[in-house]
Amino acid sequence: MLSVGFLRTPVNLGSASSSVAIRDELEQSRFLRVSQLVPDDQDIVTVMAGTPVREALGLMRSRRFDQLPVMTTDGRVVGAFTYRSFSANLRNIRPQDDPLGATVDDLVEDLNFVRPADELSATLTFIERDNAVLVGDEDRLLAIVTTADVSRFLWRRTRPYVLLESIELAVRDLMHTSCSAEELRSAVAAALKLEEGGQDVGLEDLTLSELLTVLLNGNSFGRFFRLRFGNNRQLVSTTLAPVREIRNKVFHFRGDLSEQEIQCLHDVSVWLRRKVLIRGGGR
Amino acid sequence: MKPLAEYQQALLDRLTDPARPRAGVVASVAGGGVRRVIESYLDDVSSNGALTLVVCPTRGLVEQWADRLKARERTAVTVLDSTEAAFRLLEGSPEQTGQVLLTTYHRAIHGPGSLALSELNFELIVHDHPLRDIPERVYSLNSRARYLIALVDQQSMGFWSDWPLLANIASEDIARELGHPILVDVQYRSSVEERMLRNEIIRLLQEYASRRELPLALSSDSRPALHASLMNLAAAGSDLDGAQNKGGADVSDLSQRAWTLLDRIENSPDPDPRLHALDSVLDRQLADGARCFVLASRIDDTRYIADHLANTGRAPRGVLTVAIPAAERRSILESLEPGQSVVASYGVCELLDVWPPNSVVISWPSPGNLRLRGVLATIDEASGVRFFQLKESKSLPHEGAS
Repeated sequence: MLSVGFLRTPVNLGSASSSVAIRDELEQSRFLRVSQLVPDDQDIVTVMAGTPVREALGLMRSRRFDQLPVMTTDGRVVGAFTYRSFSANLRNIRPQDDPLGATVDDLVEDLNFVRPADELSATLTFIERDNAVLVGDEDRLLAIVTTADVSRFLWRRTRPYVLLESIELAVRDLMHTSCSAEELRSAVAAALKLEEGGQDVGLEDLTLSELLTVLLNGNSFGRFFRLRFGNNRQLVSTTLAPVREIRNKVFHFRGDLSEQEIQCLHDVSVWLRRKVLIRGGGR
Repeated sequence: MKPLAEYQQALLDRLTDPARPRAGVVASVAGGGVRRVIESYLDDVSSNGALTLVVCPTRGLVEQWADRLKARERTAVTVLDSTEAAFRLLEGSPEQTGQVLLTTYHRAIHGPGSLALSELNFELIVHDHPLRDIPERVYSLNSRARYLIALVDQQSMGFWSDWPLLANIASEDIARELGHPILVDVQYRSSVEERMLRNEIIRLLQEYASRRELPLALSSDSRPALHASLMNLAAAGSDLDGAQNKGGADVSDLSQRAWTLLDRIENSPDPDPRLHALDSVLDRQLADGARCFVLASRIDDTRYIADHLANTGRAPRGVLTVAIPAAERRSILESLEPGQSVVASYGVCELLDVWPPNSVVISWPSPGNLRLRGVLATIDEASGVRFFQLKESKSLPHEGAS
C-alpha cells in the first residue's frame, strides 16, 4: 500500500523500496525547495507574443503583477515582460513610435528557469536579482516565484513562532498579575508537586505544558487565575489545549501547520491580548 | 464491518452495471452510508489499475476519505494536499495508476494542483457534495473521466438534473433495514439563562455568516464550540489584526458583541447541564462494566468532555480523533478495559471494524444529530453496541420534566 501526503504509513525497514522512500522523505525535508514557495492557488497568467504593451500593462495593473511570462502559440516561453524590461527597452523604441503600441515580445527579459525540487538557497540569488524566477522549462511553464512569494513563505514559516510567543507571554503576564509573588510560588509548587524548601521556580522557568498545568490546577484557578481568565476553568482549558498540541508540532518540526491551526493560534492570541489590555497591562 | 444493506447493494450493482450512464447522481440523506458503497466500487475500479479522483469541498472530508480508504488497505491513496504533492505528480511520479487521488475543489481548480490534474485521465471522478457552482468550473476535468458520480444531499438534487439519478436514498430506506441498535434518549434541561445566551450567540453567528455571504455551519452548539466560534468572530473584527477578516466585510460591530458574549459565557455561574447528564449515564454504565465511547462531532467538544471527566475522577483512557495515527487509535481501543471510557470524534467510530464487547456509545448533542445517524448506519444490532443520546428537554426547568 502506498500513501503520499499527510498520512503516515508504517514502513517495513527491511524493504529496499521503503529505504528509498525514507531517504526521499529525508531529502525532501532537509532542504527548502522551490516548490514550497509556490502559492497553493497560483494560476499562471501569461500573454501571447504579439500582445500590445498597452494591453499587457493593463493586465499587470489590474492583477497587481510585476511580470508576465510571454508565450508563443505552441506554448513555449520566450521571456518575461516586466516593468523593468519595459523601461530598459524603451530606448530601443523610436521617438516617433508609441511605446504602448509596441508588442511585448520586443520588450522581454530572460528570467531564470528552476525546477520545483531545486534548493531554495540556490535560487534566492536569481530572485533577488530579477524579482522572479520561472519554474519548469521553456516548453512547460509550471509556476512563477516572485519576491512577494518569498516574503509570504517566510511569514508563513515564522508566524507560528510569533503567535506562540505572544500567547505564552500573555498567559505568564496574566498569571503574574493574578496574585502576589508568594501566592504564585505556592501555586507553582502545588501544581507541579515541588518539594518544600527546594529551589524557587518562576513562570519563566516553566515549559508551556507546565505553565498550563499551574494555571488550570483546580484550586489555584479558583483562588487566583479566574480573575483574569474568567470563571469557567473548563473553557479556558479547552481553549488553551490546542495551543499546547500545536506548539509541540511546531517545535518538534512535525510538518507545516494547517490554516485552521494558524487561525486557532491567532484567535487565542487576540483573546489573551484583550484580557491583558483589560487588566491595564500590555506590552 | 456490517455487510452492505439491501439499498446499498442495489446502488453498488447499479454502479458496476456495464450499461450504466457515463454520469450519474446519488442523492442521500445523512447516514445513508453512500461512501461505503463508493469505497466498494473503488476497490473494483482500482483492481483494474485505473485512476480515480475524489473531489471534496473541504480538507476535512478529504482526510475522512483518506482515513477510510487507508483503513481498508485495498487501494493505494494519494492525497493532493500541497503544492509539493502537485509538483510530484507533475514531475512524473511513477505510481499514477491503480490508485485513488483525493483533493479539494480549491486545489482541483487552482494552482499547481489544477495543473497536475489537467495532465491526467481518470476512469472515475467522484464529486462528493460539490458546491452549487462547481459543475461548470470542473467541466474540463470531467471531460477527461470515463465515468462521473456526484454524491449530493436531497436538497441539492435539482442542481444536477442534467445527470441521471442513480439512487435517491431516503430516511425510509435506512429505517427499513432491520436490526439497528436501539437509541435511548438521556434528557437534560438547560436554564433559561443558558438557552437565552445560546440563542443570542447563534443569532450573532448567523449575522456574521450572512455578512460574509456564507451559510452558518454549526456542527455543535455546546459551550466550547460556541466559545470557539465567538473567539473567531471577535478576533476577525479586532483592530489588533484586521487582516484576518477574510470575508472583507466590516465586522467590527459584530466583534464587539462577540466580546460581550464571550465575557458572559466565560463567567456564567451555571454548571453545564450536558456534562451533568453525561456524568449520570456514564457512571451507571461504567459501574456495570461497560466500555464507554463518548462521541462528539467537534474536537473542541472532545477536549472539553475529556477535561471534565479527568477533573471529576473519571479520566478517559484516551481522546481519539482522526488526527491521531490509526495504529495509535487501534492500540488504545484494544487496551480498553471494562469500566473504562474513551472520548472520540464521530469520524473515528465510523472507521471501527469491530466494537469491543459490551460497548456503550454516549452521543454528545449536536444540531440534528446527523453524525450519530452516520455511526448508527454502520452498526447492526448483532454488534451488541448500546446507544445513548444526550438530548435537550423542550420543557423549561420549572415545568418539571424528568
